[in-house]
Formats: sequence, structure tokens, C-alpha cells
Amino acid sequence: MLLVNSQRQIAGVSPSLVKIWHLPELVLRARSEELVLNVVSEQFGNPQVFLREMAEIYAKQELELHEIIQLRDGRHIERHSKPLWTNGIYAGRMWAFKLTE
Amino acid sequence: MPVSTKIKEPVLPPIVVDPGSPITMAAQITEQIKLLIVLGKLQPNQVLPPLARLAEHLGISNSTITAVYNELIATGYLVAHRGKGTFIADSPQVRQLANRKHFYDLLGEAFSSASQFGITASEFASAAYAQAAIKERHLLNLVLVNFLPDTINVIQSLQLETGLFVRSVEWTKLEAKELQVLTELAEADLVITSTKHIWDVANSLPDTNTEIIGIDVQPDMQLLSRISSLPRNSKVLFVCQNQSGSQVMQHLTTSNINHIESIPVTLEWVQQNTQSVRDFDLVVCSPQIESQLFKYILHQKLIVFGIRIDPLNLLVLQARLAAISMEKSL
Repeated sequence: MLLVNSQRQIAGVSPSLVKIWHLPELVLRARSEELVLNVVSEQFGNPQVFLREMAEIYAKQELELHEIIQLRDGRHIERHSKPLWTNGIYAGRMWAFKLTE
Repeated sequence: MPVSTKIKEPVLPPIVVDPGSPITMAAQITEQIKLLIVLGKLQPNQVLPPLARLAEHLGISNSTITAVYNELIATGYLVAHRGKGTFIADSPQVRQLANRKHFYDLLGEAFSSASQFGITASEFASAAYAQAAIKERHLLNLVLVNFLPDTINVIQSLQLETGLFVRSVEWTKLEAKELQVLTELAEADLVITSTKHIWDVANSLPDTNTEIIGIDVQPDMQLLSRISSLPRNSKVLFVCQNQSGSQVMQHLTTSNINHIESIPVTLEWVQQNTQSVRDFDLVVCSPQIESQLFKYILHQKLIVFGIRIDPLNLLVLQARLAAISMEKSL
């Protein structure tokens, strides 16, 4: 689980996130989603495509997605994302990940 | 602490008991004493009737009243003084009870509505218990891993903003892997901490699926606008019971402000340097010591340190609470 606020700063995590994406401590301490995405993108076959896709997702506030993605190391991950709203105000975005068997 | 000259004559509190109620006699009396405290009809340091007299008045056994008094003493609502009697305690528990008046008012209104349907007091009590038991299963279990001193009342602000009860655990206890703290966190629906420490908390949690949200606290707008309006090089004093509390208040307030000079000190320092204190343009104090500073500092120069939660992550927290609450109720 990764929670990002409306300024795209990391607002929350679950410890499993660190394990799935092998995130270094420094990256999380910086609280910058951009840094996280850079680390994560390297785990995809084509990092540039991944980053472009992420930009498109953030451009569409209302977008919800549920899909399975494949990483460069062969692992498959369920990826879910949806916007967070509080009283009609956009609060940020939630990401949830799960390793598939 | 009751003083003999201030002891009021014991009067019989207006308690009624119903032997036919499903609630035990002791519980009926205990709760009515608490209600009388909430209503101000029993006040701190007021003496209660001797147990034999109250037992005789209510037509019940001495042992029941003994059990009631012992229970209320053990929980901090009453205090017994040998040879003087049993008194309403002047304790945090009694003060906390008085703060729950709104809750008791709601209960009163609920019973007024219930009685229109012919529901008796006993039926109401049972129905209220059933409702509470079901609700309790759906209540969110929120835990704050606190890195700030108690003088910065993050819990109160969080409860105000979320409308939910939040438990607090100290970071040092989590870091030491205390079993009770680990258990509390393992049972939490959501763990809240400061944004700076999300990583530390994530690394210490037993369950890797626990959701952690970071929040930032800032001084409230009243304090910020007061400090912003001070002329350049104004001198501001931050006062708390202890030095570390004053330093935290100073740090939170001045991290984005550089036109003032500020010094963190203790209450004891103020008491020993009353002359020097007058040189300061503003004194910021923790709420706990405000009343003790009135005799040293002009009212106009004193402001209480209050906080607010940064709205960016507060919105995220509120959104997640709404979603988790919905998931739990399904």
C-alpha cells in the first residue's frame, strides 16, 4: 500500500510495499513519490513507458485501475489504484500491490 | 484534598434503585453517582453519606454500598479519608467525567425518545447495550505512534479532526519492542505517526500489511499570525514545564519564521527570572502552565501554544478512515 497526497508526496505506506519494490530507506525518508517511481521504474522492462503511463494516470484524477503487471525479474504483481476523496476534495491517490503466485 | 473546615454535611444523593432491573444494584448506584457528578450535583471534595446510612436509605445491604464505594475509589472517582469519610475525588477521572456531559445529554435524549414507544428503563439499558456491542465491532481502532512530548496535544487535535477515539503509544516503547505496544499495533486498523518517522514505524511493526499514515503538525493560525505580525528582531520566549517541551514548541513555530529571536526556557526559569521575562515581546506557553504564568507576564503578552494538523495529509487520513470504516461495516 502506498498513499500519495495531492502534492504527490508520500503520505502513507504499509511495510510490505518496501519488500515488494525493494525500496531503499533513503528513498522513503525523502517522501518524494518521484524518487519512488524512479526506483520502481527500473524494475520494468521499459522504464520510460512505465513513467509515461504513471503521468497519464495522475492526469486523470477520477481513474481507477486494477491490473496485473510483469516486472523485469519475471514477477507478476497485482496493481490497484484509485483516487482518494474527502468531502468532494481530491486528497490524493492510493496504490495497492500484491505479488501473484 | 478535603480540608476539615470545607467539608459539607453529607446529604443523601438522589439515587433510586430498581430491584427488578437486569442491571445489578451495585452497577445502578455506581452509574448514578457518576451521573450526579456530571450534572454537578456531586462535586469534588463533597462528602458522601456513611455507607450504612446510604444502605438503609436505599433499603439494600451494606455490602452492596461497600462494593460501590470500593469500586469508585479504585477507579479514581471517590477518595476515602480515615475518620473523615468518603469524598468525591478531586481527580483527573472526575474532571474527565464532567467533560462527558454531552454524552450523558445524548443518552437522556435517547431515553426520552424511547419512552415515547413505551420502552422501560430496563429495556432501554438492554437495547443500548445491544447497540453498543454491535457498534463496537465496527469502530475503527486507531493508534498514534507519538514522537512529540505530551505538551503538544496531538491526540486531542486528531480526535477533533477525525471525530474518533485515538490511542497513543510512545515511540520509545515501540522501539523497545514492548509486547503490549506490539499487540496494540497489530490490532490497529490504521497507525498514525509523524511523516518524518513513517519509515521508522514501518520497520518496527510486526504485521507488514499494517497501514501507516504520516501527519505533520503546525502551530495554529492564531499563534502564527500573532508571531508574523511582530516587528523584526522581536524577542519571543517559549515556556513549558520542561526544556525539551519548550524546544519542540520553538522548533515547530520558528522553522519557517526568521524575523524574530526566540529562546526556549522552563517554567522554573521564568519563576527565577521575573525581571528578565519583561524584556520579551511575546511569551508562548504550553496550555498546562498558562495559569501559573499570569502573575509574571502581562495577559496581552501571553499566548497559548496550540497546534493544527497539516491539511494535505489530513485529507488523505480522512479519506482512508471513511473507506476503512465502510469496509468494516460490510
